[in-house]
Amino acid sequence: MADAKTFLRRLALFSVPAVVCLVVMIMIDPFNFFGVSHVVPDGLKSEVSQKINYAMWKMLAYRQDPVPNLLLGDSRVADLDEQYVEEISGVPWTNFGYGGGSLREAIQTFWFASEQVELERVCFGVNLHTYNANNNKDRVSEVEAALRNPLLYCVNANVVTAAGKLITAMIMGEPEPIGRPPMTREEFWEFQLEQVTRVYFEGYRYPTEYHRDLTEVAEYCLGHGIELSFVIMPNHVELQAKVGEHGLEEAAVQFRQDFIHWGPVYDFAFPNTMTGDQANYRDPYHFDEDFMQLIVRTVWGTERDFVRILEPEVAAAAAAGEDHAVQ
Amino acid sequence: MLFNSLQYCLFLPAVIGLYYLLPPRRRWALLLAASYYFYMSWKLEYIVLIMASTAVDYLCGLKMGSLSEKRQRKPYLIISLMANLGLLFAFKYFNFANESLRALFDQFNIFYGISAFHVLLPVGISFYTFQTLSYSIEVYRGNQKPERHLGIFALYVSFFPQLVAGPIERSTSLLPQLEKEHRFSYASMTSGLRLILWGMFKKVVIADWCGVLVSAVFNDVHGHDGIRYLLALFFFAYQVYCDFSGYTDIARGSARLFGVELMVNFRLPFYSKTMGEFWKRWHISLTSWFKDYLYIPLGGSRVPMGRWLFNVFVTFLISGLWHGASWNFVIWGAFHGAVLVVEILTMGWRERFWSAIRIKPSNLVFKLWGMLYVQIIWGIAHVFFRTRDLGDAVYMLRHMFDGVPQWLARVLSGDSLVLRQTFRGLGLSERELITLLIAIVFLEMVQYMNRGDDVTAALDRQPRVLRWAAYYVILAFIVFGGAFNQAQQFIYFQF
Repeated sequence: MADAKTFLRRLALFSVPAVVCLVVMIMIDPFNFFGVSHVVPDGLKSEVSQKINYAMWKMLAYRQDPVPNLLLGDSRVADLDEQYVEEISGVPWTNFGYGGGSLREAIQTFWFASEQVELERVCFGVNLHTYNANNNKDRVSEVEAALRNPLLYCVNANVVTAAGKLITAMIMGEPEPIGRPPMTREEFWEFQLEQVTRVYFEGYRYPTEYHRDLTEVAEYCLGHGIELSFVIMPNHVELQAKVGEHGLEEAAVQFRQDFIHWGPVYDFAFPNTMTGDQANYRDPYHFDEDFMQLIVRTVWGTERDFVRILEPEVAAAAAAGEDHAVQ
Repeated sequence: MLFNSLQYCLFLPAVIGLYYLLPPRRRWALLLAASYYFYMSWKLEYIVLIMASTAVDYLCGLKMGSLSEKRQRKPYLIISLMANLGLLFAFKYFNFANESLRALFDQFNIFYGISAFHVLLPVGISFYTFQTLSYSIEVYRGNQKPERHLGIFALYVSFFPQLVAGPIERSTSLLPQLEKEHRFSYASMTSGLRLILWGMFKKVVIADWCGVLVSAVFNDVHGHDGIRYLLALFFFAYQVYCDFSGYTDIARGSARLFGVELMVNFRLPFYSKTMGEFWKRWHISLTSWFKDYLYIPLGGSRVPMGRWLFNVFVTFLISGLWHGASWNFVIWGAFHGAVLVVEILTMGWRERFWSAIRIKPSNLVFKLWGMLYVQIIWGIAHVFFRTRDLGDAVYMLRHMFDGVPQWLARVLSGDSLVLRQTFRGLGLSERELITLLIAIVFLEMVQYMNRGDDVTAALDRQPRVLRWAAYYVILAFIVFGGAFNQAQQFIYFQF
């Protein structure tokens, strides 16, 4: 009996740090998972936490206020202004574009959202470098795991990091600034064009899993009356040329041919005066505000000057490098 | 119910609490109910199989116990063997045998109309049938008195910590412990919890993260090149070892909380210098089972050389089949058997070679060479173990070094992107990969410091402040670095 008492006493003592950590995490609640404590102002949480894990921030917020229209993709989709898309399309949208995001994350987010609300419109932003088996980053599984189990939320590395930064911000009075890359615009352009592109394109693998998963998504959308569309985001022409330099012409043809089976494809990634002008870009991957508005007016409005809306026979010609705009 | 699930985290303390609150003579009933519940949490119906196996062996054991002559006991041993092996054949091997026969008949254009048996493989069937078989054989041999208490015997067959993936306990060791009255022991509780903690670390921090990377390569063998095959095999060694030894640690730790000591199943196998030594340190409960109930009855090593080699080869061939019902496992077992045969044949030659170059077995070069040799043989064999079919295995072996020279050239030329590209698309983020590598280094440090020792025994010798600090570090690794969103079933559950 004495043994049992000693054991329980020491076990309780041993558990104290864990319990304290748990209470602190519930009090700070960086991503508003519990929503019971207001120790940290929402504005500060929004500023700090969404920079640490935008997917977690967005998905938890979506759970509270689900919208039936989704934008899914990577940082280029993230650049599409929700308000502007709403203004042009006439309906509200939730932008689930994640910086450095993968198609895997976009597909997982689609299924997550479909469990929250009856979806009406879904638009995926894609490119050859995201339709790549080597590009399969996954930050969504951990959010889903955390949503299923509050304990996992409390011990999630991003949540703990965000909590640490929030505590620091509250003590210091302002959040830690996010550093910019120590490069000039030209150097950064070159870095993105050469180094980052090599990471994506060297060793490119055809994404059999994405093909299967997107087929499933398309079938689900068809069965549930969801309007599904795809936007091939407008890379700068120097980046478009990298496809050929890496010997991926056939992969590019296959990429376009695959997507036209699943829904209308708005292809902006072809040589024209917009994609040929560096002034329209922050770097070879990311367009500026004016180009963003043009994309929105094209996909959800009536502009058609810099897009190819792909049909099966057009996809092959487009991938082969014909640079005429097609309506 | 997986050991690394929240369900088990609630189940285990509840059972322990009740266990020590109940009067000792009622505890078997609680443990039996808990064990059946544990098993039924996978598939309710399959509890019938355990019950059937229990009933047959209980009755055969009683009957054999009442007969004085071995000759008279033999029919009951045969009944037990047929019932257990029949169960195993029906659920595990029927479809394999059926498909193999179909393929054979197809070769001769002969119609073969027996259809497949569409049934899910019962979890742990190979483990509990072997455990209960060992009881029948020991009773037959007269080394074990038959267990008269049906409840205790049923508990021996189904004791939940080791029910689904071993260690395969011998009746002579486990039955007396289940009959014994256990008092609450502070030392048993703490050492049990430490083993569980260490097992969880191996499973969720190392095995499960390795599993993500390994699956990415093995599930798409044709989509990768040599360097990724080598990487996948390197991490697969850690995955299997940490998965299975982690499971065993949790099993042994859980049993210790009830005062039951299960056998050690792993003794740093990758520190072996030959495959013969490896098999004395890896999955010891199975290897010793095969040794006691197959290899020695075949004649062991006390027979002419040719027969000895045959005994070794057959034992490993059957061990391969035990692991899985597919040609991959048959080849895996045959390969191990062949390697051991070669090791036996070259034993004298190797000794003379090392002595000629004046390197003693205690020399570091000898040890490192041996460990590298074991790693290579293990890697080749486990291509068959992990690939989905023979085609993938052969493809992988044929292309094992494709692109490796170019990769090395890029590394040597200082290409800063090479590592990033190598790991890209294998399912691990930079943070996860770094966590995994740190955990592997930590594991190796702990194992190196405790060669030949139990990790908990080493901890026991430290002052409490250090012990608790170590527990917090491991706990932090588990909770902040564990692959909870990628949690995978234990590999050996499939067997």
